[in-house]
Amino acid sequence: MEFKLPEFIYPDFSKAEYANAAEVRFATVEMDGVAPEEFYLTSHMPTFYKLGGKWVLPEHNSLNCVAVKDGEKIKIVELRDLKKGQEVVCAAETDGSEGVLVYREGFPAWVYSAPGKAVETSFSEDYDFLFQLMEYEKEHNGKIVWVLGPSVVFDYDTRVALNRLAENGYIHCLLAGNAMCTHDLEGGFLRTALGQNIYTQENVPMGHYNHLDLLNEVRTIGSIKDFIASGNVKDGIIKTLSDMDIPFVLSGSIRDDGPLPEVYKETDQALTATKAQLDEATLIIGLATMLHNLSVANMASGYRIRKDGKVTPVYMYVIDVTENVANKVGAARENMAFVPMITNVQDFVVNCEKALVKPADKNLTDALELPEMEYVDAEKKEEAMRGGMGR
Amino acid sequence: MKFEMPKYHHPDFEQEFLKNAPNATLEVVERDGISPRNYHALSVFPEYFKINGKWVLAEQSRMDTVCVAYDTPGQERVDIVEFRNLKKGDKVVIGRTEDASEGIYVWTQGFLSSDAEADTFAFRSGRSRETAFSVDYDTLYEVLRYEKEHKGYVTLIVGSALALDRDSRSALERLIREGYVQAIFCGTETAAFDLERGIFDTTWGQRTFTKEQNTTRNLYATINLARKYGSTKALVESGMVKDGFIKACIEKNVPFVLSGTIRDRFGLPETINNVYEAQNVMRSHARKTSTIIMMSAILFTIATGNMTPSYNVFDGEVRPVYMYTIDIQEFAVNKLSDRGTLTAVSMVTNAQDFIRNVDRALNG
Repeated sequence: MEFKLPEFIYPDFSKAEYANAAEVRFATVEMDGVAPEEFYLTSHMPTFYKLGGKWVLPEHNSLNCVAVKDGEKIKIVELRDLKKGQEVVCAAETDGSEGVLVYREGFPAWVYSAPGKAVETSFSEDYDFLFQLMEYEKEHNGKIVWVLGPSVVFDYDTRVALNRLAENGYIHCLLAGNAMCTHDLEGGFLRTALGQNIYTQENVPMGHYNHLDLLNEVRTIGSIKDFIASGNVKDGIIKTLSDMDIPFVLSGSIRDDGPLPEVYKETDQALTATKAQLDEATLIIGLATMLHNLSVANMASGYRIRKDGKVTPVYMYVIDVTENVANKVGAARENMAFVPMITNVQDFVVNCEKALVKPADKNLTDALELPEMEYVDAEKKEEAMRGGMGR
Repeated sequence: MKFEMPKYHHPDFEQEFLKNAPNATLEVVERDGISPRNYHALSVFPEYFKINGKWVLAEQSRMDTVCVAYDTPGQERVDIVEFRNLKKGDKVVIGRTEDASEGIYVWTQGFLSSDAEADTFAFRSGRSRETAFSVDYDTLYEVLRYEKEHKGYVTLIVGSALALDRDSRSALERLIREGYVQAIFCGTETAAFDLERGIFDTTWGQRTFTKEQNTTRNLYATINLARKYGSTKALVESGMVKDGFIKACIEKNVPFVLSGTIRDRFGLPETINNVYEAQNVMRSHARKTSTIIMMSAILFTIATGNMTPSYNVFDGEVRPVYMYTIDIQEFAVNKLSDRGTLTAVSMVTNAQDFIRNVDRALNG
């Protein structure tokens, strides 16, 4: 059976209730970053605005923004970015009567996820759909955005799987924080994550210095790119993405050490850079990070208008062992095109790779791979020869 | 049982190995924000550095940072500095041993009493929802009364759960008004939810908050109002906010630090958008903090836990910094023990119940 994306059916605007509905009302921004009192707060749902007798659908939508007049169109603007003089949509109702129509019914009912999914839920069909969706996006120039917490880079198999997914065209953008990137580079640089060998789980001597050393080295060289170019990083998703010119956006947080030079210090800038990537996203896969997944869930549009004019949902898969995290994302996405999976993200990533990356694709890379245990042994011998000092 | 502040004992500096230890090696920072290699990174334990033959205790310490030493004869001191805040010309302590052989001595026995009650302040790991917490509550009440009497500095980390519930919101307000709180760290939403209730009598757009849903119009209208007035203080002073803990903070002159996160797209005027500047402001309070209580805010809790020392010096006396972590998720409270944070008590519970209890015990 050929895979087909769910498709949006427009409302019948010839109906009297829409034809006779009022035009949308605007109020003018008087101060930068402050909305007129009666502003309409947007959601990420497909929403139509009646403007000049026509019902227009903005290019993207986003939760907790405002709708601003842009010629004969409507664009969705962050409240903080409002500029004096802009005209902001004002409305209290979303049934069309005030020129604002939130149209949940446009997508088929099965696009909405049922609440209450738990660790015992059967996820097989969700996996099937995801694999088909990923293959579809790969073949149709979609953009698969991954949102990653640090746990995916702590484990050997997961690191390998993530790299193969990137190499085989299933990752088109990475959104993450300082810690994820630091530990990934630490793994590629010193074979540890927070001082623990990523394969044998052994704590290496003075390993608690490793992430600080990594940060200081990268800061000394000045950029992640130059650090990788210097030959210091054996592997890892950041190296792979850099080599493949795939964008990654690193957003700072108050937990960060370092930080790495590429990390956005200002949340506003981080959000703007993230949003620019999300506006192109056709599928979002978020793994084991409450902060980043909620940030993305709030910002990402619920739909995209594809090149052929079709409106399709932007699916967001959220993988976490904590049901509460998945539920929060589901609430933000109003369960539309939202699929939670309650599991360890390490298993999720390895499963995706095993299902999607064909054996033929692996043959080449497999031949080049040294089994990790041999690598650990070789490293230990080298270490012993140097008298256990330095690296 | 009368509460007694544990006494700290410096190591006996007359011991030969400490007397004979060399001065710590110092290396000069050549570029802002970058440390010389082989720097010594701080732990959460008391650490001493030998400068000009004198052992100097690091005060206001912070883990995963470096030690900047000032070695002008007669004015020896150290400052514990994050890598990003290093300045060209700073002299950084070099060496990764902790046994005085390089002039660096990590002292883990300072709070051990002479009797058998050893290790009172080591982190009790593996805490779960089934742990008996009664003794921890009783100690906490004593600690908070002690802090109030002795002009201690109690910092609270407030997760949004406390702003979403009627009782816990007013409990927090009372604790502030009764002088038990000297600083608050929270996120934009927590403060905004509290203000929303004070202005619109709704929380998350709901009369009584029951679940997360996209009914945030009043929340955003609240932030919009604060921005219009130019500050949360001005908004409160306008009389629009009838109650809440932010109002109490403003009226009692208790500072609240709103650190920005990528979940805040529309900040209150006081929200600090630069996360490293926010860290600096948080640490300026952490440096003074004598007791810290962190409630259901994983991000803020870990950030603060990492920057708060296990001990500090108040009026010339070294004493432990009490740290309480409250969260319903075992993962969250045990996260800090993974990170080697000491002198911490964690309690696995609903933070709303926790604060209700504390308020009833102290103000009831």
